[in-house]
Amino acid sequence: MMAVLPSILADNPRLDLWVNFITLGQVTISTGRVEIGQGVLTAMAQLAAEELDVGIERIAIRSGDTDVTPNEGYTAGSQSMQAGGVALRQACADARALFLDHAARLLGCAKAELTVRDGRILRDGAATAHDYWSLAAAVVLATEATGTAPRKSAAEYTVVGRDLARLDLPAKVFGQPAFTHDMNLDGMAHARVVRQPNRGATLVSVDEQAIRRAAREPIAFVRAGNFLAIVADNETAAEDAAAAAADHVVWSGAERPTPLQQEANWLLQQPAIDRIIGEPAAAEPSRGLQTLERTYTRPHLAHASIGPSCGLAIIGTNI
Amino acid sequence: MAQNIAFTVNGNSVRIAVAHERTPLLDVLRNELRLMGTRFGCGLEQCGCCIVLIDGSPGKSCTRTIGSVAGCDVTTVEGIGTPEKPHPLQQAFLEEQAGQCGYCLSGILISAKALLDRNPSPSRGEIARALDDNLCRCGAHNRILRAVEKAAARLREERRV
Repeated sequence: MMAVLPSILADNPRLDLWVNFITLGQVTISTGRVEIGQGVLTAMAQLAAEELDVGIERIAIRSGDTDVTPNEGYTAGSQSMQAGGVALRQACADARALFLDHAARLLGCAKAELTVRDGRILRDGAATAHDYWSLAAAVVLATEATGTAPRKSAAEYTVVGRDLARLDLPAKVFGQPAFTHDMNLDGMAHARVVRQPNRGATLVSVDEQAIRRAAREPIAFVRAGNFLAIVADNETAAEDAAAAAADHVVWSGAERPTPLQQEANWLLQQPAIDRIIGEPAAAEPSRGLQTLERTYTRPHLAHASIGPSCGLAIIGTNI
Repeated sequence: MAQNIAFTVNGNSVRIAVAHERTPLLDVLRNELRLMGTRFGCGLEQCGCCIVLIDGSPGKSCTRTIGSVAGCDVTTVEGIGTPEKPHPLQQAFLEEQAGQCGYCLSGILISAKALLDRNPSPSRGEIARALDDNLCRCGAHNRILRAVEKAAARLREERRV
């Protein structure tokens, strides 16, 4: 029997891509979503613990390793829980059902007699000899999700909906590596991009000598069309060169945004494509409540006052 | 011309060879000393991500030159506590879950420590003013204020005992 799979699970149907019991006493959960401060890894751990009936402390979350995690596309648009979370829940529900099917065969009982408590399989509430880890070698998770196991209803939740300390926060409070920039590899070079002043601006000329003088350390230029970056072994040199570049790079078609373009009204008047991401829930029956409507805006071009974004790459073959 | 700069970081004496005296302290902390807890936010003294204690006072390490800290005592977030022995501020930040993305927290913890070192009983207004230079774009401010208040109370308690 095959049910309609959540779309992310249909894209990544292998159960072992989502859930594994390789380590004794531990459940390895993979997600294609990454932690960007929204607490998503903690929330994913809660979902998995809930559907698998294991203690949250048994969950080890694997994220951001694209070789081994489901391809879920971007972590953006508030879609992680709605799309990725439901896929993970279904994968866990299907995996749990496979373990119960197998245990029922071993015990010669009906699956309905079996439940799971913290990974141990119970029959009519009493302990059996089996748990996820004792059965892991026999239950094949290298199989596609069927979507047939029911996911828990909200009324059954014991983990989801409870406050849980964020798994990612300790590293951030103790100054431990938590961000891409905190990876400091031997032989790493540093780069800074010299940004186009606006879309459509064309890079005309670069006074490389003047920029090299400002850097005071060896630098290299990377230029591809209107893209310009400065690379250096010494990060300070790359920073200094990029800062100096503003005065030594000539662009044509540079336009400063007008004050009008800072206003939300200007944005609303521009051509747009609406993307429907779901149907609104049916309205609650009115209980004499009053609906208040207000519109709040902010200058969208001033969105980011700080920009702690960075990328890191290893260049070469046979990596 | 390369030069050697000697200073103290988290209680350890260090001597660093730098190409230029005007190399930012932040680059030395992160790239030479591999203390990655102090973070680059804006590079323009606008966000407070990079704040460290320099001889006990909060300073922005993104523009503070390495030459200017010769002989100084620098404290970074790694120097105020560890998971095994957390500073009361770190403990309180965890208890209050005071942070979202957490990028600003190193600077905020350091600014808060500087405040509590000189004023053990700050009002909420005084805490807010002390953290005015620390931007949190996520909006965790209320939790952060609560955490600093909690840490202050705990430190006062510790001193009384």
